[in-house]
Amino acid sequence: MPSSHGESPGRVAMVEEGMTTTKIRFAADILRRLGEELNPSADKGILELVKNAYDADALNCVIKLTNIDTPGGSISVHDDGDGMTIQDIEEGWLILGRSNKRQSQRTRLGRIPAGSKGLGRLAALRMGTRALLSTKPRSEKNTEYNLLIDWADYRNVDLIDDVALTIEEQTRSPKAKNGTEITIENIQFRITRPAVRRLAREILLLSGPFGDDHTGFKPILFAPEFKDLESLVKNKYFKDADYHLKCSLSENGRAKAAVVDWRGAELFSADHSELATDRNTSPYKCPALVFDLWIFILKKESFATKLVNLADVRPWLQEFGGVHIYQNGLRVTPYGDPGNDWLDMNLRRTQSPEERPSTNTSIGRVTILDTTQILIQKTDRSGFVETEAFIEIRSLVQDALEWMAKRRLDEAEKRRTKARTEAPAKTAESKIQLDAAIEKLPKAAKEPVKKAVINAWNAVGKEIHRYQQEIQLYRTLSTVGITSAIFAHESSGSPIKVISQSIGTIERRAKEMLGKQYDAKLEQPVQSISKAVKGLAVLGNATLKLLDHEKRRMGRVDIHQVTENVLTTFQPFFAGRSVQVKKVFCEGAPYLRGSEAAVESIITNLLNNSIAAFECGAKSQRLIEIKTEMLGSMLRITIADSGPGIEGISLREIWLPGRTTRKNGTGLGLTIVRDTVKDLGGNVDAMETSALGGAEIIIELPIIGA
Amino acid sequence: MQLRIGTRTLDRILVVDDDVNARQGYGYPIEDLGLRPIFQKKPLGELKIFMSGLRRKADAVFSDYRLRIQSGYARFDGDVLVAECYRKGIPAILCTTYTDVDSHLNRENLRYIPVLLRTNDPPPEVIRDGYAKCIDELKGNFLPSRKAWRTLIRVYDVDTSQHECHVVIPGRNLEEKITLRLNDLPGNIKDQVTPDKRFHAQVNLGAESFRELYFTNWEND
Repeated sequence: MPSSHGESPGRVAMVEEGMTTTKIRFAADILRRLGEELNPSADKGILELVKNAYDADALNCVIKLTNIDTPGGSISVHDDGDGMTIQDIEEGWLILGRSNKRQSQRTRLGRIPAGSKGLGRLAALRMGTRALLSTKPRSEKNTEYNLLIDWADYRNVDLIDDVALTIEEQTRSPKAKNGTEITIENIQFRITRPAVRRLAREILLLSGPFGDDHTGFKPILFAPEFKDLESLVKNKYFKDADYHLKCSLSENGRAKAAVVDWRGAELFSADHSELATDRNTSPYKCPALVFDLWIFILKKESFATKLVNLADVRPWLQEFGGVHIYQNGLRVTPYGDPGNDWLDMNLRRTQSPEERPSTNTSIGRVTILDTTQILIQKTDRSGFVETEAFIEIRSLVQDALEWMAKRRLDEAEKRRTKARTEAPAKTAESKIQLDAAIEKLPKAAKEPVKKAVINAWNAVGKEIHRYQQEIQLYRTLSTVGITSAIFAHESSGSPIKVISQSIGTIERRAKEMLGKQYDAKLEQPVQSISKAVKGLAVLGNATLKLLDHEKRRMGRVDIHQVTENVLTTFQPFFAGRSVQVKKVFCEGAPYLRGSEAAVESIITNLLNNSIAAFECGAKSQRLIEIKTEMLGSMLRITIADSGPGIEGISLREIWLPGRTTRKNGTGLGLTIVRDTVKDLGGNVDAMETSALGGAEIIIELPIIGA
Repeated sequence: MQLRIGTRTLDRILVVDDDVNARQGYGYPIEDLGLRPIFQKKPLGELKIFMSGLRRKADAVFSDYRLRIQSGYARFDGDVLVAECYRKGIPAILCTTYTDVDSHLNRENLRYIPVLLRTNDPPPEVIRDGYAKCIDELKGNFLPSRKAWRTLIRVYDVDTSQHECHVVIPGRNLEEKITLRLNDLPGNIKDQVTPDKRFHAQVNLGAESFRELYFTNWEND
């Protein structure tokens, strides 16, 4: 019996008795959702139309933006490609969500199709109230097809299918060339200057500013904002790069890399095993690729011998810098866009600045030939889906960058070593030249000049000597620090461990064996040993705590918390020396941006000074007072003690490196305090005596909040 | 005398430390428990070979963390040994006061180290309780502080210079930044660690201190 549902328009056919076939259909509103919600910006939609032109084997593609400053303007994209037949329009252009472009099938010119799904095209076409397609197929020399889509027609219907579109077939003039023109009329919104600039940039970068595009595809944008960018892209400075990193990956996942200088001479090279050290030389599981990076040293000295100016290269890099990805000849956004640092180049440069490029000092590209569609672009064109293949590509490029940084660092170290050994010889040579020049002076001028030069040499010599002493002192202290750390590790290990274990066992067993006799005869000495061992362990830990690398990280530093931590670490020292510490902290938790190590070194050095001062005699009790006060956006920290105060040295001199009144003192503590406070943007001062009787150091640090 | 814990009987405890005096020292509280300390004097050699003969020698293991100070004693640290013992069902205790132990311990290995004594001189009863805890866990009875839960992990930042990343576990404490060594992460996770990236992993959320947190079964969302 036939179904009685046949009259309903939602049911399209009945095929057999007792069965009804039907279809999923789409409401007209889905067009808006698909086009607008999956493609976030106007420029991305227009770019899809340009990619369609590329896929149609166009050599030229002209994008015109007319009166787009206000709503009502128009956009046209005109190419000289192969155009479309009526079948191409019906089976491809008008079908959304399915691409008729098979990436494994190349186009007539051997291009790998770039567009897909047609959603970007939909977004572009829906920007206006009407979209006109006019196409002249290569295969039909006398024919052209025209199609008008009036989006108003879709407002009054329920389903997409309810609107019939008409393709008009016309005879074309013999002079009319093949190609397609799409015009979007009556744009519903204003296209802002930043959006046009972004579009211009993307069109310029589409086939690359690298000057070796073999596809012959030339998209041109007619828009006022285009001019300045166009000149930027026309100027190519690749030959002026200081370094060019070239890395390639073969089809079997083996990589190699080389760095060449601006003349193309190879500086260093690496094979797969050197590049892939961190992955135990396993192959990279991604399509074959080539990675190029041109690195510029943006310093005046570096440009002194070049034909181009630093002022030209800097904006060029700012606009186009970063590493772009080109898949099958066309760029994939957003890699290399401003703000897109997909390789963490800037982060790594911040953490280890020497010899590393940033996105503002380099420009590069990863060229991938991916005919098997392993890399899949996200529907909203916001990059590749993060598949294993993509992760492997990123890993390879980062490995290459890491390798180059290491090699450049090695070279820099060699240069420094060489400069250190050559400097004295160069100085001697300069002196000979200077003496010879003086000898040529008239007799009357010779003596005063000689005298002035000698004075100058002496002054410079003294300055150098002072720096040498300072460096030596820092080196000595660093060595002391390293050695202390090793001793601290070792002493907290075996010797203290064995004493602790043994004394613990003696205590336990003696108590059991001797009963009350233990309390009378052994408890006191055993406890003394236990206490002393614990004290030793704490001292070792205090040294090691200062070395914690986490403390050297930049971030938010709670000044009260750091001070409390230092005081806790120092507690055994204070207890052993009968030092009392009074804290007078202001309310809240004042903090700044810096490193914990910086604040810690200020407090530690000042406490060390106070402890040392007490050995020279305290006025009464051994007291240290740490006080904090808020003064607007500054925090004042005052550390005073009851020691003898600053004696035998002027207040000006206490900050100078190496100046100390203590035998075997380093004279560096207050220098470190001064330098660290300055680094944190603060001020430091000292008073010879305080209310407690001893020295008082006053520090003011700018804080972010409390 | 033997120590009976549940269905297990402990008698011979293998004491592992590369320092002969410290080894002896760890033996005293074990003796005081009435157990027999067996001192591992010879170099440990390959872990796999060492483990294959372990059950014949001892019922449980007591190991110091640092085993590589004295030349040739071991090629691995105590955490590796203790974790391997756990995997093989042998109760084992790790003991150390090494200051940097927390930054050296592999967070995945911590899953297999139920007892870490941070003292040089563990009293006998602490050792006994430690073995009781080990045996309980080997039977599948976890203390709340050791029980793992699947939870979200958010990468806070990455410090490539130190080969570390810092993560936040929203299900535990939004303010707590936990340091993980990049090399300790599984390959497919390590490669994707970037700030704000989210993963899932099994973590003992009830641990009292972040030092005791272990991370296993990482999932890339």
